[in-house]
Amino acid sequence: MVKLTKSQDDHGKSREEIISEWVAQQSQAARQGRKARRLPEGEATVTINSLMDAMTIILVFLLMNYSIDPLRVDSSEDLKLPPSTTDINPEPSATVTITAKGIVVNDEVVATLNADGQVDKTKKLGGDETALQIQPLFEALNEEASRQKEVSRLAGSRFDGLLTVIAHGETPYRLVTEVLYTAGQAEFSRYKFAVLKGGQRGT
Amino acid sequence: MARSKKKTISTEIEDLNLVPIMNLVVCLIPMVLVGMSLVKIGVINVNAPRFGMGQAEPSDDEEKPLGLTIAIAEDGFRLTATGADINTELGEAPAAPAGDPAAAAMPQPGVFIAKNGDVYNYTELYNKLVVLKDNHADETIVNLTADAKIPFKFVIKVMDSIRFRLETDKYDDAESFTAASPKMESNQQVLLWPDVVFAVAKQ
Repeated sequence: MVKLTKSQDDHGKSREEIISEWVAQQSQAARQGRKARRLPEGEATVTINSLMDAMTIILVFLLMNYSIDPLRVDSSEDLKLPPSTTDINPEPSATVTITAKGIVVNDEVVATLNADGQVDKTKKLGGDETALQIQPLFEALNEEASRQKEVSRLAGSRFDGLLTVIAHGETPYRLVTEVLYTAGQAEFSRYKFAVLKGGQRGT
Repeated sequence: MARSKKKTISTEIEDLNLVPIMNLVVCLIPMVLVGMSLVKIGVINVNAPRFGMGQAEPSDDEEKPLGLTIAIAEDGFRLTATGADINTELGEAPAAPAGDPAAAAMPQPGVFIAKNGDVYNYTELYNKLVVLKDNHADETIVNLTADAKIPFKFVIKVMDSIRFRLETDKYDDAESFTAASPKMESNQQVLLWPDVVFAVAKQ
């Protein structure tokens, strides 16, 4: 008791009182600090770490699939590929796309089709309706063949003359043969038809 | 007794700010999704087309090729062959389309496979082509032609039906034909008529 009396300061507080006051102040400051870090009433945060992980995995998966796909087909009402039971994968090659409205080479429409799915006779060789050669297609494919030959020459390989035909399922057979004939005239000699995998036989 | 003062160092680590990265990933995923097609694309190999139905006659000491042709018409399939009497081989009377006496008078009008209602009879086509393959085991080439307006998707379905031999040589209904798996030998699919050549008669 004597000691306590001695420890009294000028304000008349004992040492224990000062200590307990200081502890109370510290804990109040800590409480206020925690409270200050807290969001205002009614708001919350979302932990996005796990979401970030999932999105990174999805992004890597999509990029891998994107990079190994040698043939890209943007399906639409005008370009619905026929289904097939084939399991052969496409190879990089020149492509001709036959939609319900036109024939496309290298993203450029070279000929438009009429309502019957035929090319206008003025676009055919000699303006003859029965001709098989579609002149604007021939010119586009000839240019593509020349370009590929030049690339093959520089690469020291041989021009393989491979052409992938991406055709709408409702394309008339006559037009398909006209496209193949024209491609043959432009020195493309190997053909592949692009189809949708997973079709059923005989249905 | 001297009391050591413990300095408290803040060990709290600020959370990594992932929001910019999240923004980037959220933008990239739709871009990649738009750029890629989720459907699996396959291809079917075809041989260079032959235009005009004429064929060089083999010399007497050469064995005459079968020259099998499948024609897709509005009402069904017609099988013809230049090198053999397929009517006899298939045990079918020369079946010309009804009301076509000119075709009936031809020496080999071929075999006609009528549609089942509105659906082509792929099952019967397969059954007959298996018999022809058994009789001409070395032959692999089949000419494929169609009426001018026949949609391309039917051409693909015919090719799917004739390329590979299935588990059984004869099917009675379309369901079992659709459900059948290809016949395997030495871990490879057994081929039936794999070399399809497109043919079109000039108009």
